[in-house]
Amino acid sequence: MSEFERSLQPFRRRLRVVGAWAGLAYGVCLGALVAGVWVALDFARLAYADWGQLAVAVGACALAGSVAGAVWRWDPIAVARSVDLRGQLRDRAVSAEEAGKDEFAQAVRHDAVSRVSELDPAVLYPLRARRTQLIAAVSVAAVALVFGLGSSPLLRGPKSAEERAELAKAGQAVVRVAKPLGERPKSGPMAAGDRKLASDMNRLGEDLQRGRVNREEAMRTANKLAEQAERQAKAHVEEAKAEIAKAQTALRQYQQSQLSEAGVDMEKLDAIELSQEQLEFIEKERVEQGWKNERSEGESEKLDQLGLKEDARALAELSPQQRDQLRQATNERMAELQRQIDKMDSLPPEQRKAMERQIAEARRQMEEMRDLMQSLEMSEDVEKALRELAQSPEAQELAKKLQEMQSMAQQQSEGKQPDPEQLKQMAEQMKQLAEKLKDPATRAAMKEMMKKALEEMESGKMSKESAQQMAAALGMMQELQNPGGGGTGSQDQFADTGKIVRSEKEMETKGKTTKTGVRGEWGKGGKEYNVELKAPTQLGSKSSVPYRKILPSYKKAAESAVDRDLVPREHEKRVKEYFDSLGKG
Amino acid sequence: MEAQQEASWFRDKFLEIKDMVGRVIVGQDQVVESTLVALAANGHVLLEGLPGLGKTLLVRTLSEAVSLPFSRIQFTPDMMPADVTGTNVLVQSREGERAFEFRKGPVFANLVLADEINRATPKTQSALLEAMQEHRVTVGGVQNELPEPFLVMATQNPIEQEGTYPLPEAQLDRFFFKLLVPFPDRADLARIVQQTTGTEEPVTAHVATGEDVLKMREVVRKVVLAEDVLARGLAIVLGTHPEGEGTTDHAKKYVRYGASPRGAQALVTAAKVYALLDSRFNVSFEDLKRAARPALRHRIVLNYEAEAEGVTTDQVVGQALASVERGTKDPIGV
Repeated sequence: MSEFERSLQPFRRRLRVVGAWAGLAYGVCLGALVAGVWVALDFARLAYADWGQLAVAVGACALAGSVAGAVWRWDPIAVARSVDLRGQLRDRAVSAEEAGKDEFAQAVRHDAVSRVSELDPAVLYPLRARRTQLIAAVSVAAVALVFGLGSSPLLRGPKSAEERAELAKAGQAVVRVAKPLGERPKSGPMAAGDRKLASDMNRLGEDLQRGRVNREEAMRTANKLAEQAERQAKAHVEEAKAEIAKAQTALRQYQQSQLSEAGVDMEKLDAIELSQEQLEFIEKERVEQGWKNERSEGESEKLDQLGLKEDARALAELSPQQRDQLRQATNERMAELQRQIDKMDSLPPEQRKAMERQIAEARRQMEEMRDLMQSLEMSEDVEKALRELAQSPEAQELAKKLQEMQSMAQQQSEGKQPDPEQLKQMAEQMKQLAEKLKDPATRAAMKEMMKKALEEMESGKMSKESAQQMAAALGMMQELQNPGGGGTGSQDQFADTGKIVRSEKEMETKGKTTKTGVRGEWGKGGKEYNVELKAPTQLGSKSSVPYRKILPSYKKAAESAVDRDLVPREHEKRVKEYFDSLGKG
Repeated sequence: MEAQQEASWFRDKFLEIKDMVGRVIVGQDQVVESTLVALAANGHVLLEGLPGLGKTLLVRTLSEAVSLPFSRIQFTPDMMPADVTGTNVLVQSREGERAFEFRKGPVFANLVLADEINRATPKTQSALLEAMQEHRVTVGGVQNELPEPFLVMATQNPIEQEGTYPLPEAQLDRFFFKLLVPFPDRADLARIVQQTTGTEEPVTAHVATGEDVLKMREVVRKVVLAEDVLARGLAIVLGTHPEGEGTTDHAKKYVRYGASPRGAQALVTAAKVYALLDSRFNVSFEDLKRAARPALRHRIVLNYEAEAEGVTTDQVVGQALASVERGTKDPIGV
């Protein structure tokens, strides 16, 4: 490094400081620009920002700009020229930088060094607020002002502020509900729908918190979301049903394989067919002998789950003693038939021939049934296997859990929220049970299927969480429409959508909602019990039309409908009572 | 350091000559300095001013100061080229032999004053062309070298247009500087009157020699010119052109032809002299600014619109300078 270059070193160091200062300003300008765009997108409801995020954006840009300014490598000629201009060196520095090696060039450098050494870098490059810094400060202030005023309740009246606070509270609830929904597994057939729903809910929540939507718009959006959530929930229920069917199949295959191992020929059982007369004979014997079902409840259940036909079931349900008795009764019946044949000598030939055919047919059936019973004679091993299967705590537990899951799937379809913890525990238990039911040779395929079903359930495909989230999503409707609490129970969430929630049984409601059960007719296919919830408007006192004002016209319309026989006669009284009760309220 | 000694000697010698000439030429410091700059830069000077402003006295005083022969040519319309360059004459020796002998004209001097050059015909004016550019004269097929240092100082009267022949562009371009000799102010005029009407006449001493002048020219060429400064100098020259890169609004509107490459050479060389005078070893933009008007003003050909509006070439050069100065920004704008 030449003497002249050394003389410029302090200026280069100073330029790093000044460069960082300038870079900071440029970075802040850029950050303000980014923040401005962000705020614009926020106002356009395309993206959402808060103070922290905006500050981080500006700060990050400022830091990046500062670092870039500090590490920026300035061209040596540019530095020399700058020092010339600022230090009024009459181009000594730039000439020294470019000069060759002759005597005059050395003289130029010597002259430049002596002049440069007299200069103070801090004086030449002061740290002062220049236009860039001013622009940066004004930009940030402008963005902050716009964002602050846009989000501030300062410019709102008391009523508007109150409404805004309510909406913000509802918005918080929506965001809270949407959060776990957005954290669902990223794969699976329902994941895309769940994510979109979560995204839409988040957006609605943010809009509400920022007061970007009014109550009516929020209601419309919420209704759309509710419909979307309902579709998602139904899809999840269907998925759950499919998974349960898989689990049932797996369980049946497991039981059948265990019985097959014990010697039961399941194909033979499936092939059993009894005539009506045979079945009537067995039933007659059952009544006459006073047979009770000696199979334990577990054994009967297992037989149910084996999927046996009614014919095989009638025989298989009999205990060994009962089968002995039936065999004996069959022999007796055959003997009686033989006796009847013997007594028919006095009959005319035609009648005797007909009787003989009937008796032969009955005898053939008895023989066939006796053969069947012999073929169904279960060995001790089979009986033991059946007992073990019935008494196996793991199998019992598995079946129980399956039943509970079915029950919950049913509840889901009815719009009830399942207990997520319960579902989680159940899934875990089923997994453990599947592990206990080890039989590598014959049940490998079944276990694999069962495990797969359990894993899918655990991974969320089987809707245990989906149901929870969907139900929670529906729950936000309640919060949105009635932020103050009260109102209907969670199962009444669609009341405001104008839909009718159908159920097999009457639903219990909570809060202020009144319910009216109406038995109606659905199409041509007979009757179906349904419950139509007719609650007061969820907007309550904030309805655009006063309740008292609109009630008489509705009541009159209802009475007119009754008078014109438009309402089924059996419901006329209920309709009148309903409107009377509204009038009292 | 030798360079410093050379530069110091140059400055001292220059100032010594200037001081000596300045004792006689009152109130024309700028003209005296510029003439010396041209002398040091190996250029010729065109002086434009009213009669009686001391132009002839300047040349004579300068020749005395630098101890160089001086000749004066008073140009008239009937003057022939041979009256300037010299001619071959038939001479007879004592033995009776006759032969042509070249008789040197007045141009054969170190310092030549071509007084009222625009009164001569173009033919006679052009006789000076070769002498000014090549420092030699060709007569009868024979080249005759002019003595070094050689400096032509031509004068012309700006107001007497009747019976004059304006110098052609080619000849104007050969002048290093065109100096405008102003009328002295009241104080200077008083000094002139007192100095020239009294009994004591200022005495001019020999403070330099022809060798000194030649050495000064060598020193000038050593001055460092940075690329960045050269770029700005060229930008000034290009700024006088009506078209092309860096042209100015004035040039576009009023200029027919801009300054020639000789103008750029003159600009830079003169700037080097100014740099030495400022005790520097490098040319700066300030030096270029000082040299721009005298070096470029006579090399710009204005159009009729400029003449109609009274626009001068100095204004065009001023615009070019301002344009370059505006473009000279701190490359580190932090």
